[in-house]
Amino acid sequence: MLTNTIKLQSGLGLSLSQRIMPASASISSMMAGTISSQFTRGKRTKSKSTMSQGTQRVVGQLSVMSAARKQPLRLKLTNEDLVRHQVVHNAWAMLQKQKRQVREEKLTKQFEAMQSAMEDLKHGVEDGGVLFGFGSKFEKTKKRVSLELRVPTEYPPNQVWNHKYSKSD
Amino acid sequence: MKVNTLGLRSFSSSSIVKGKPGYSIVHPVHHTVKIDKKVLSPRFPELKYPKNDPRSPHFKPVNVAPDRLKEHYLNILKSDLMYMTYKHDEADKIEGAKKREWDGTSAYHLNRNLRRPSGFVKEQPDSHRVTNKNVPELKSIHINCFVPLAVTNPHHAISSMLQVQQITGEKPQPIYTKSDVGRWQIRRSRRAGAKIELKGKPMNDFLLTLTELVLPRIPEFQGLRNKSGDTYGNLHFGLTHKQVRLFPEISSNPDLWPRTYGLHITFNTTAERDTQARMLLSGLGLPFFGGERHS
Amino acid sequence: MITSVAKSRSIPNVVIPGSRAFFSTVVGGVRSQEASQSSTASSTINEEGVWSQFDKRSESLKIKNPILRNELLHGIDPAKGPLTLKKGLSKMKYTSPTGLDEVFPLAYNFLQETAKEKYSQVTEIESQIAAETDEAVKTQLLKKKNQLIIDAEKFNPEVAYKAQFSNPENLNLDELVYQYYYKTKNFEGFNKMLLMQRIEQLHVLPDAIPTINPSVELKVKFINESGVNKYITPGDILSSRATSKPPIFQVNYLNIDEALKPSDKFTLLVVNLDHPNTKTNSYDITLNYGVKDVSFQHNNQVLSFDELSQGEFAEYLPPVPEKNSPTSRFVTLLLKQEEGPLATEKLNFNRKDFALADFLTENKLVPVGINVWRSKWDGNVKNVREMYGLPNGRVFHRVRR
Repeated sequence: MLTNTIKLQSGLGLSLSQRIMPASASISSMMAGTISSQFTRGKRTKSKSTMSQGTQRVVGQLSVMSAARKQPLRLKLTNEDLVRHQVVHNAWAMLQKQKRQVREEKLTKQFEAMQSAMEDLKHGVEDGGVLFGFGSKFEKTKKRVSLELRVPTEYPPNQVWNHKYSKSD
Repeated sequence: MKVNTLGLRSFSSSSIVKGKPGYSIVHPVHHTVKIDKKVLSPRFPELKYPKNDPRSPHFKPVNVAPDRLKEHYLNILKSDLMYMTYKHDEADKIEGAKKREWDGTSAYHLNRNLRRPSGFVKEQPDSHRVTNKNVPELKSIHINCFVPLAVTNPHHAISSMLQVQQITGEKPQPIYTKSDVGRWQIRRSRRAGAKIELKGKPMNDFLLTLTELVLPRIPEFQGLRNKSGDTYGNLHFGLTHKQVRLFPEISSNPDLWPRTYGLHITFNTTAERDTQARMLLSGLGLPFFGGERHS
Repeated sequence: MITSVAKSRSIPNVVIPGSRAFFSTVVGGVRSQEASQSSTASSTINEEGVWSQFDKRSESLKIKNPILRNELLHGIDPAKGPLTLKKGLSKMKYTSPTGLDEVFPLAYNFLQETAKEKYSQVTEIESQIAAETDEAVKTQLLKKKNQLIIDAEKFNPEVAYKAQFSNPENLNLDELVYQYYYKTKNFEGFNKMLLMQRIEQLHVLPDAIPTINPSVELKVKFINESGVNKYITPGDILSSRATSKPPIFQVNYLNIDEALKPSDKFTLLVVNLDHPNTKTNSYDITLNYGVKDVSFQHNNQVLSFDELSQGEFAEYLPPVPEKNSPTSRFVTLLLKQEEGPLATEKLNFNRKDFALADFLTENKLVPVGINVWRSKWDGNVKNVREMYGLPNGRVFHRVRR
């Protein structure tokens, strides 16, 4: 805008130095809504950036990615609080370990039960291997978990299950 | 008198006095104790703490929120997958095709490289029976955003990097062109896009956004192609630059994104076969379509 | 524009890993807001648990300062500020991380419960040990028991605080937990590495003994008029005045798996590896101090002077290096006597030309601890020689006279 004014003024045959006017005059020109280029010490006379809009955007994008923005706040803990933090940390780790052990045990039991059940079907039932064949039919392809199985949320929708669902919908 | 038994240190003379420079040797170590020089140095004391200590500059709080997808996998999916992949009387290990010995009919067989595996160009890995110990699991998601345009205009490299960062919430790595191809306007070692490997919570968050918010909004999306996969349990698919706009991080402020870039997404699983990997991903909310290749 | 682009990936200023999830799981899988709030309000630490029964346990496992103990177990009082900060302003400014005070009691009680289980296993193992006759099985059980005791106590905040922030010289190393912390953090985490680096750099290892992996920490210090009264860093160059009186030794037995028996005896040797021998144009090893049948029962304690003087078979000769001879290395060795006490009349050695390797094999001595200091000629050596009635020293020149 400022450069435009200067161009405009110079077009009228006035140099920049001639544009410097007394203070009262500048106020009036401001009141009138005209743009004043009165000299003030320390004020930038050039336009803020000569960069194109695209370059400005890229500079902004770079600053978003800068390492300083990703640096988390350093926590300064006193020794007491550090030990209290360690207690919580260790308790959490131990709890996770216990839960993991329970899960693993459960899975092992499930696997063993499945194996012994199949063994029973194979040798324990005298049906000429009908049940075993049914149980061990291994589909080579397209075994999928149903798409209707959703990952549970903490805030489920009001209608939890669409009982009238049909594939044609 | 000059007595100097071989191997004894000479008291009266030394190499310095003789005017001979010493020569550099690595002295033998006479003990098995491991020495960590970082610990012994008095410099940078805070760098000596382990990374999970809040005093360390590398400390990053983890487990700050529950992980829905992880809980879903552990509570529901894992045992289901174990049942689905079970086959009775299956061998514990099926050996993949390996390189073969020459039969020795020619004298030139002696130092020749081994014969290629029958039916394959490369050696194949062994595949193992799925038990409770090795139920397929999602290991990581790799996102690759290659932007050849960035070779001529480097601004695209930065924008694509930011786009990947926005979508995943993690810091991506730049990717560089590898070869000079004049017709494609590609020159070697220019920045051309971004890549990232997601693991753990960020990976699960990304997958949930993808399956719950992005893919349902793509009208033409049918699912992952059943033929996709590298035969070793890693599947992949792509999103076009228009589909990327559906990510909430971008669709919430579309004015900021005059240009978006397409992505390649690879699901890296611990499954040893593609069929098992597809079973796993279908349980994580990804649909599949098309005929399946038998592998 | 930039701020609006910034990803909503806010890392909360909370240290606690998944505090909310931790709540709900400890409370019993209840995820509702009210449940966790009510548990927050009423949760306090259980002060009748195994970690607080000081009628049954050692007082050294307790923090003596009541204010500090209160801060550690009940949180920092925001009105008073933390005790460990000294400045008034920083006391005022300090705030504990969000949520720590709420989650701490749950974590403390949870860990205390697991510790209780461990202690019940310990009593079980103790009864097994009493019934067991096979020595090999017994040592295995003892090893397991020691590990359980350490596991039961190592997460106790009072113990962890003392082990990390108090002077290691004041720790009661007879308690297994403190021994564990001292061994991993102080000894193997620093002192041992420094010791091994120095003895390797000074070529003590092939010159004195072939190799060693110290399981015992051997600390050496000299008390003298100049007031230098701290344990030496391995490889220090000491003045002849400082070393004119016999050193003081401290031994920390840090083998958690194998307990020290009262019958275990040790030998202490101080040898000089660099005594010049002009006839052979080389160096001899000389014996400067030798004590046998040393025994100790407690850690972090100085070896008593009486016991050392009882077992002395070679009285202390101070380092008196010759002028212009290279810096001499004085190695202190702690050796385990494999076959019980040693008989003085059977000891066969020559102090001036000490055959160290033969001495060790003849008497079945196994090195378990080591330390080293260095001495070189200074103006006070003459006085030390006079003090001990030693002959005048030699002066070496570049050209042999």
